[in-house]
Amino acid sequence: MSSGTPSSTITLTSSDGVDVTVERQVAERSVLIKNMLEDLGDSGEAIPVPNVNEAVLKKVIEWCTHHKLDPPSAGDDDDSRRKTTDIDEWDQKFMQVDQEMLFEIILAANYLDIKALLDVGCKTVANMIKGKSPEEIRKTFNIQNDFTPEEEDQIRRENEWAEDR
Amino acid sequence: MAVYLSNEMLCHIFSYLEDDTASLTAAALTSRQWFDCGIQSLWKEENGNRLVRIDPSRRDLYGRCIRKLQLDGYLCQGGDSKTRAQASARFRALDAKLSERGRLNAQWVTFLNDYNWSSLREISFSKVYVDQALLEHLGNTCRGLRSLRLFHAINFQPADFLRLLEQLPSLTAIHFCEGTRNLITSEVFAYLANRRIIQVLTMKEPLQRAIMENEAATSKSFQDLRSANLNLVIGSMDRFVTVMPGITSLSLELWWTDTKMFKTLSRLERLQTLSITIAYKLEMPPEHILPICNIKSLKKLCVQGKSENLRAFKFRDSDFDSLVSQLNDLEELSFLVACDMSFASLKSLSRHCRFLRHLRLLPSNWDFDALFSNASEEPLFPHLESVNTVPEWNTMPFVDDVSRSIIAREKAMLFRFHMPNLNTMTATVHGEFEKEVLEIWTELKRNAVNP
Repeated sequence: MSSGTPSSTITLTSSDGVDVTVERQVAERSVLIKNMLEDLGDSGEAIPVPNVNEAVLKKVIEWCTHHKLDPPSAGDDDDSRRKTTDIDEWDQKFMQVDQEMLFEIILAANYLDIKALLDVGCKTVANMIKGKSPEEIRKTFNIQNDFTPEEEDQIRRENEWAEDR
Repeated sequence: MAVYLSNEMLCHIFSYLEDDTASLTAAALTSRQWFDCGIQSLWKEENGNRLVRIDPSRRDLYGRCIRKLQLDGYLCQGGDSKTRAQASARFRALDAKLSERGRLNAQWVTFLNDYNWSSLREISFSKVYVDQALLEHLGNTCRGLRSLRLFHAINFQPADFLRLLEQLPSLTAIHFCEGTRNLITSEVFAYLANRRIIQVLTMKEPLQRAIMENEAATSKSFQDLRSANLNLVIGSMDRFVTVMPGITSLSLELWWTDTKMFKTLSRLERLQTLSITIAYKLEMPPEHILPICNIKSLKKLCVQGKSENLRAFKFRDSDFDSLVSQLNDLEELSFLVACDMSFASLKSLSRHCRFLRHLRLLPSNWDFDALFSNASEEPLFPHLESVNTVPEWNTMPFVDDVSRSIIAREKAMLFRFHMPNLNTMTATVHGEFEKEVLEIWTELKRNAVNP
């Protein structure tokens, strides 16, 4: 079959009211936007992205632009398969942002339904956890310890097998 | 933390740490929220060893995390002292047979029915003794169980097994491994045959051998089996075809091939659905698979290479023509292997398979434009309802918007003429354009404009 994809652009409006113009093919990395365009048709009006601010939206678009020619991710719901935390070089560099931005990207990728970006974000966080003690993890992510010492002890005992392995 | 990650996100993050239990355990110890999410990954799979040390009051909490339970190696529940002694003796005999001497003795436990197994998706029982109480408990709580694997489940009796099966509404896969031949009764197979949702029936080699050696005991029951998913061992096709003459649906994953195999398969006179997946690295010469053209009862045929192996076939137009020439009742065809074929193959399909309703193809094989430009006076696919082409990456030709709409209109007319019943056309990459074609086509149909 011979055909082309639309080469037009569309406009997205961030939560802080900024319009961002983006190639339609790039925006369609987001399943949410793709479905919206399919269902509603491209009226030429700006599409609001109420959960994502301008800085994050631009970052997400940067990622989608770089990955616009990637094949759509296969429906990979096989949770019995072990997942790797390998991240390609460009993505690693892309994810070198402060933690708040990293989390914002993850939340945006989840909201916009961009599975590959969500995966890269989650892998980045997983890599930040790797090899650390509970105290180091709390420090890294600024987590408040809400366990009593007894509870912490009990959980340690219950999960000993996992810790030894 | 200014930005808050939901439990769903945390669980997703932790799923990447399932190989690194030390880090995962550390993460679970940081806070309550991280604990709740961390144990979902830490306790996803369980072989029984950790269950004993959990305090009864916490068993519900941990039990609900477990998706896959593998009771493997002598963790046994229940039984009085006499039964246990007998069971232990059988385990010892089994050990001697399997040359596993020196392993632990059976551990007799009582706690397995304290756990709530409502999240369980898979159970594997390997060398176990389980009492009635546990079987009942499993039947009552494993409503979501999808897969059951049995290997030397020594006290399983066909009647208990059937009762358990009846209590598992979500079960779709049963794997009979070694040491389960006592369960292969006509009642069990008749039950499985009637229970349409069983999609996967796996038989391991020794069991196949048992079936082969014991024709009188099994041939009757297999007469009733309608659907099977088989990982066949070399040489067993012949036997299976003999004992399953009534099978209507068969799914094969092939790791080997020879000239006889599909010739044998073509004896299955009632086969309506055949799915063949060519495993990684296997090459299938056309002449090996062509005998399936003799299975005239076929209504659905799916031939696919695994994603790494789309080039498993060396099909050409003439091979494809031979393949479909006698499949005159075919209603669904999925042909997901990359081959050197032209529009002539589509023409063969149109000529021989007049009742085709659903078509799923790799786009590179199928040039509808060339087909239509060579078109006949008659509609090519009078009953076709859906076309689905999976994309071949990065080969999209560029077409500007104006010519697109012209092409779309012309294309729609041709599609409408040749496929008057088409209502679904999907293609992941070409989607927008195909959708446009379909819209124009629908419009044409509504206005009854003749092309």
